[in-house]
Amino acid sequence: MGQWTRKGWTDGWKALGVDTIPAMKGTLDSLRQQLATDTDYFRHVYNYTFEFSRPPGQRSLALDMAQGFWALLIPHGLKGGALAHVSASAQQDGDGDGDVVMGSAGEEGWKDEYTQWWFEFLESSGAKGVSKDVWHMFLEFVRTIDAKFEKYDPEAAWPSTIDDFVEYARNRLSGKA
Amino acid sequence: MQDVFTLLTLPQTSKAFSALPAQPQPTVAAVSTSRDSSRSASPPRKIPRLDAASDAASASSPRTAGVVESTADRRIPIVLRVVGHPVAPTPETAIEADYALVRRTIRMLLTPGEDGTLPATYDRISRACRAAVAEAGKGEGLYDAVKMELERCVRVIEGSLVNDSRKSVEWLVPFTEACAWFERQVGLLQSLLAYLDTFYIAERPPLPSVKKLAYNMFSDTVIKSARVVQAVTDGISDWLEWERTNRTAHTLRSYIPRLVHHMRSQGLYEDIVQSTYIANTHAFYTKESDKLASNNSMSAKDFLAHAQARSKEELERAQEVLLPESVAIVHDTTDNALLAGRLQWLAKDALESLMSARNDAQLKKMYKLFAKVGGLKVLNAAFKLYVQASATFNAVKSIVTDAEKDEEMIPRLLDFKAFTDKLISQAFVDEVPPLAGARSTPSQASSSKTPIPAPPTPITHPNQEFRNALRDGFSAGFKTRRNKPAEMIAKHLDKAMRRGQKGKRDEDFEAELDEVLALYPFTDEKDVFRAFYQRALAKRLLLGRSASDDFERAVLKKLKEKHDPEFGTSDNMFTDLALSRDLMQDFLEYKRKKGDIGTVQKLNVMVLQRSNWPFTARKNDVDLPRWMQEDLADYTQFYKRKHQGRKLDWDHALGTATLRARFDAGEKELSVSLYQAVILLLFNEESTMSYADIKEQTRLDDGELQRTLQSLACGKKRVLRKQPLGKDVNPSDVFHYNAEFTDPRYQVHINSIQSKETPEETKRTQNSIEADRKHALDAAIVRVMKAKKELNYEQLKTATIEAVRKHFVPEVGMIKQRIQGLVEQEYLRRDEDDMNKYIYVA
Repeated sequence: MGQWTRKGWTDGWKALGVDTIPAMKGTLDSLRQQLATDTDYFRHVYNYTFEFSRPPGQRSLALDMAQGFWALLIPHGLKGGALAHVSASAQQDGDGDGDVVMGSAGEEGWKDEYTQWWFEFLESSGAKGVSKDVWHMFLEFVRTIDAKFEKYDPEAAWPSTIDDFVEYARNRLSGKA
Repeated sequence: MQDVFTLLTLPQTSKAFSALPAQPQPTVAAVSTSRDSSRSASPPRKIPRLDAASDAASASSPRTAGVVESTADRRIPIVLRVVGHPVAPTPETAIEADYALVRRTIRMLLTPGEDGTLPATYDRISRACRAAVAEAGKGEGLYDAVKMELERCVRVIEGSLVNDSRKSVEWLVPFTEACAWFERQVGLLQSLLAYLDTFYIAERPPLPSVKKLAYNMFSDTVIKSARVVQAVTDGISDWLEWERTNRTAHTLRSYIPRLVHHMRSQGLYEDIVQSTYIANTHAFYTKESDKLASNNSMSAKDFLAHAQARSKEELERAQEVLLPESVAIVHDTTDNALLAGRLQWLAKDALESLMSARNDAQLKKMYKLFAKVGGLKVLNAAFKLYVQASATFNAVKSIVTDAEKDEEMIPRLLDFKAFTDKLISQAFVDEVPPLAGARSTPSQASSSKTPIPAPPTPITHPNQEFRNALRDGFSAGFKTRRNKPAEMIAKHLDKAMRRGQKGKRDEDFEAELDEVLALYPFTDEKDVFRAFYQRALAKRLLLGRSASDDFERAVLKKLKEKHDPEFGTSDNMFTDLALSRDLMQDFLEYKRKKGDIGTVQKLNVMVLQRSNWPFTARKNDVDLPRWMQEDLADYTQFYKRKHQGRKLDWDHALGTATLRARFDAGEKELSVSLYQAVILLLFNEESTMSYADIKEQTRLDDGELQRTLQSLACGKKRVLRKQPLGKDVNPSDVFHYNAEFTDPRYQVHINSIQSKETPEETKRTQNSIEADRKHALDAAIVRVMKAKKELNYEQLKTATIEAVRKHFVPEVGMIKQRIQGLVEQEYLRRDEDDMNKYIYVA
């Protein structure tokens, strides 16, 4: 983490057509904007983050690292709409072109506070790290789960960690309500 | 019974008419079709002509001899001409008198209430009739008279019946009596007016005979009278209602069969009597059924008994009162009306209480009843459900899930199964009518004293549906608790094998084992059974606790062939032991030759090939006394020389020893486990030792040590005394050698808990089964994915379950976990687009 190859650096900026520092500043701004709004781009960056932050040779990402990055990325995407809620049925169409079906009849999706719940859950479960599968699937989860955690299919291929989180969240919701 | 011809044939001994010369006779036109054209080839006989109405021996009338001539047979008939006083034509007055007589008779006969004495004798009247009809041609008049009188008569009858003060059932009395009276009178009339029938009516085809005429009129006027019909139906209905409500025979019951008889003669039985009866039955029982079933006024079991009682009642009643053809219909109507709509309820509740009471006789009756009303499917479903899941009455699920009574699980299941098997073979059976051939026992008509052979018992076939239901119910019941039933079956078999035959015959013991084995197919967890069984078997063999080698091998064979080929490896245990015995011989021989046999001759070693035996290697073991250790080292050396490249590890937990001990009361031989022996030998030096001391010297770990000390100091046979007293061993305890130990026998076996499965061992076995399962799942998943390359989650799950089905049924959660683990280890990966799909990573 924190290390780039020179070639990668130069090639990357060249591809963006940027070669001066002010231009870089501006590009970074627009990239940040894009990250917030463009779902595909968000997914791209999000998935890359796992590889990026994982120490080489380890299979999973340390929990505190994962939480740190999640705290960075998730709110950003929620605010900008990249992580806007998609109803699960639309999501499962085969071509997966990421069509965002806006507002499936006003269904609410992931709430900001849920991210905190997620953290608390992971801590209480005693897990030391986050596996690649959980990391990747978490994105889909955030996008598709409804606010009440009702429309969740435990028979589907979700990682068991997420299965358990849903139960945790349901309990918490009913305890609160 | 002699025929007419014989009677009227003239005796052969006399010459009779043959004395007369035969007279040529012109051909006479053939008269009516004669009924007795006999053509005997014997010499011509004189056969008097017989006329149609031959009841009166009226020799006074001339007869023409009509002959049927046949060409083949040229008998010349002999004419009989009776010569006598010429018959004078009857005077007019006589004719009138005759006519009047007949008419009067008719009137008298057909007037109800008349006392019945006729104006003249039967003969006279009959002749008067003949005269009037045949001679005087008054047939028409007579016929009209009959008609008129009949009309009057039936109207009177109808009127009197309708106006009769008696009502309902009692009304049936005058009705039946009227019918009976009428029948009698018509019968008499018919015979008296026979000539009217034959001479007058027969020649005018459309005219009905006297009897027919009478009956038709009666039927039209009386019976079909709306009011009469109503009264009859009411009468029948009320009677039925009364009998059914009071459940006893009505005083006027005897009138009903008579009624039936009359109605049958009138041809109205089915329409009026039968239909009313059946409709009434149906309505009554439907109502009763509703009433009893609603608001829980009656338990299902009682309702069933009630229904059976009612059924029997109705059968009896119908048999006594109705025509045979109606009995079955009535019976069925009763059953159906009572049971319609109740089947579910009965099947569930009544079945439950009967099953729990183990009342197989009642169950058989229930089955029969349900079979009659087409309710077998419902009964079957209820039976299956009961077997599987009845919580209240100790069916499979409740037995299996009753964790507190685990030890009794198998005996209880066996007991339940024996009962249900009996039901299948005896109660839930369909009768097949015996084949024609089966009835061939000839009745011995002669004088012998042999009793009449009983009717052949019907052949019964167990109902296959019920057998399936039993099987399915058991399987489903077993599924309600994972793993434990398989374990208990294995343990039960262990107990049985250790107990041994104990004097039972071979077949009996084998039958017992088979009974237990019969439960094995119901469990899915074959691997659990296998693991526990093999462990138990290994222990039995090592400790010499088995009933007999033969039986052990027989059981293994059965298991291997019928159920699970993996049992084949168990055979190797026997081989190992045989080899060990041989080796031991060799070793002792070798030592003897060397001349330093010493203590070694007390040794016996069993060499086990690790892969054949279900034991795990021990980490640390007890410290044996020095001299034992030396002997063992000796053996190890010897073995190494024989089999280079093999390594021996000692497992002392399985060892046994025999000690000779001197107590105050006398010497005893103690057979104990090796651990026990090691501890006891310590007391050779000291008679009191603390827990800590013992632990230090033996180096046993706490669990083992406590258990062993417990078996020596806290069980039934206490060779050690513990201070403080108590069942449990604590690290602070102190132990004394118990000099006062006594036992009735010289050879004392101290119950080592070692031979039974300790809870820790069970746990260990269960854990290893779990671990094996995880590996099996991993292997299966990888195999499946390798073959299919990509599958979605559902398909993969199904395929995996299928792959391990023969050994166990995995939990869905476990499969998911294994898949995730494999994804982690990069054997599989998720598809990028479809999160539910997995792809094999080559």
